[in-house]
Amino acid sequence: MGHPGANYLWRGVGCGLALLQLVLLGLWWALLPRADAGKALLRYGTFGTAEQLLQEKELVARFEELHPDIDVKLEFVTSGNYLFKLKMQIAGRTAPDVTWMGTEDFQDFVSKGAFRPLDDLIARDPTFNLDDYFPVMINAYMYQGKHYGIPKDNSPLLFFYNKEAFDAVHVPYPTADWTWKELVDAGKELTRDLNGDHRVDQYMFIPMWEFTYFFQCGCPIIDPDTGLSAMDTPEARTAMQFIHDFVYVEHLGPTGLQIAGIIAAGGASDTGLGVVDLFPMGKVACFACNPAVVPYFTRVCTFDFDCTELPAGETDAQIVDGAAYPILAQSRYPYEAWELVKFLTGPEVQTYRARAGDSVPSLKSVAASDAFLKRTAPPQNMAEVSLDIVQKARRTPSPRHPKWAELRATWNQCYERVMTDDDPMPVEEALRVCAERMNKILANPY
Amino acid sequence: MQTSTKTIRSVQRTCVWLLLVSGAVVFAIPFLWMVRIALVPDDQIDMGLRLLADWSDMRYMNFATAMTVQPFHRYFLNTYIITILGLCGEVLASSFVAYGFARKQFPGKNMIFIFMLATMMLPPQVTMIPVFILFRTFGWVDTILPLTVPSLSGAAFSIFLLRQFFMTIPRDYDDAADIDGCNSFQIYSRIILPSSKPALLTVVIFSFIGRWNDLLGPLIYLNSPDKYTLQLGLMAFRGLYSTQWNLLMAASIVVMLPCLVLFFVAQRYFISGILIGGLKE
Repeated sequence: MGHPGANYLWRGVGCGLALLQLVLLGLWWALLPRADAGKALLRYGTFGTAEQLLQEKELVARFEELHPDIDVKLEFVTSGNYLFKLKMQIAGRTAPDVTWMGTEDFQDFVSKGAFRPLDDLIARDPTFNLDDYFPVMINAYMYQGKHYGIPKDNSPLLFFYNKEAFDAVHVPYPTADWTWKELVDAGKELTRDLNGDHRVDQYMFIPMWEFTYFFQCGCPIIDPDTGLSAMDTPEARTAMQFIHDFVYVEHLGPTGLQIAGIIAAGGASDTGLGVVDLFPMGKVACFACNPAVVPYFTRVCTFDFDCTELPAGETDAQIVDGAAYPILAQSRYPYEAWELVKFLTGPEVQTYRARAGDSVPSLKSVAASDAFLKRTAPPQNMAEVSLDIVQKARRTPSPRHPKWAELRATWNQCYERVMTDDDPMPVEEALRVCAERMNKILANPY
Repeated sequence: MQTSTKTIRSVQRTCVWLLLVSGAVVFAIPFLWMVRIALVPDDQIDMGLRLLADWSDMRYMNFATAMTVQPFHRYFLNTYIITILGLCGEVLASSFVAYGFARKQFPGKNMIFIFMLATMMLPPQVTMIPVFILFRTFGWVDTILPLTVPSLSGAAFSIFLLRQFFMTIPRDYDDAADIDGCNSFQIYSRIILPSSKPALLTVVIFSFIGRWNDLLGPLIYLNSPDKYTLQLGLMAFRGLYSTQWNLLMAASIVVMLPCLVLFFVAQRYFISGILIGGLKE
């Protein structure tokens, strides 16, 4: 038995702690934000980083200022978890009214009835001008002839290059008229051993975004006329052979194993594409990516860089991606949600985002304005090049198909069997197998 | 003879120490690496192990930046509330259920106990959507209720751990209390619980760390940034193409401090709680 005083002391401490918990609980409850009674409460779902959260909060505050009868609840999810959470919410019928959506997943969601058509809202709104949007992204968010999303931006695939790497070997900077031939020719000069240890320290380029090369050869991946896979065709073989030979015959790009080795040695980022850091690390002289990477490159690159269009194949199939805002079919406030979509994709917000410098406006009028064209942040040519790509591009990075997630997984397996050091499969055979498997998936009605 | 024995012993001791020190170094490297990354400048890409050899350019302001770029004070409070409520519920409910399994006789007891253990074998991903729909029906989405209320039915692992510990407490104590006029609840609260501090503290530590570091639960059930927890805050340092590793590591170090403090404070009890079976009738 301890001293009776000690027992009282412990009881006192226990009661104090319990009281503290109650005070904290009360404080927490009191600080929770609450919607005003009598107003429509819209839920707006999007994702990004901490800085983007602050931007989105500013935009929401501005919308509420313009629409005092609508409250917006911002539901912000971190990158990588967004689609997982959205699917959970749709399954549980608790999805937000307006949500962020990308081209690759759009068909999957829309074919399952997740979004509502916007055509009636567009038709009844005289203040909305659909013609002011670049057609490539408007078309990307159409399904069975109806509009389901209004694009917030354009995200063209840019070809970034390290100017100092080109200067070092006296090779002229890449231009918009480059083809695969110029890419390979320059690559032979720019793939270099920099420290004399007989190992390559700087490669020319990593041929990522592989469907681009298929589109550039005239292969649509899925034939729009027959609805079957177009992978077992001469066009597909030309594209895949180029990607393979660039890495394994010409040795102008690192293999998957070499990329993993560079990343492991440098502890580089494993997020997103994972290989994005190879450009600022100086391990590749050129890198294809969209403008979202520009703020990061600007922050970490210790060399001067610029961008141009991706080198063309037999055809100049440039690629544009971009996000849009659809309205969920579950929304109880479609008209208020339309106002939010219109605001988020309208001139004021697009001008604001254009100044931030990591996206290209989806509105022609904003893209032609000084806010975008006279941006001062590097790379110098980004505005001009991006605009050229957006105007002529007809394709998004992946084919638009409701079963694309499944088809993509099949493609990845075949691609990895070709692009490997360990008993690689010949290009022709891999594409034949891929086409067969894709056709099985496409033939399955479920 | 004595000298050679002493020499052998000191050599043995040195070997043991060397082994222990090298083991400790191996386990400390990831943490040191984390601290070093937390101190690198914004424009540094190289996060490799070689950083550990160079501690020259240290940016201590990264800690302040990491804590202010997001409302971490709010996330701390939210996480604290969820953790403490869930923890209290789990400890109370689990100990109560464990007492029943350890001391009471009722039909089908062993079968029910096996069913309860079987729930541990189900991965949470399997039950995620049905449970989500259930809580949505209750109107609990975007509240802390799904993260705290289920703890009031106890946790299978905690019940198992406590039941095993309670069974090692001599029944003579219960009998003596029974003769003195204690009812079952009094035996539970005055005899069993005070005798089980190590096991209870073990449950507290496991539960605290699990709830403090939970990402999936808050990710699914919380929608408003004002209700976010620390783990969701940490995830916001990861972007689509890049991660702010320095800020992420700085924030992670601060976030893990309460777990470290709790572990060191309760370390003695924690180890004896894990070593169930030390007390024999």
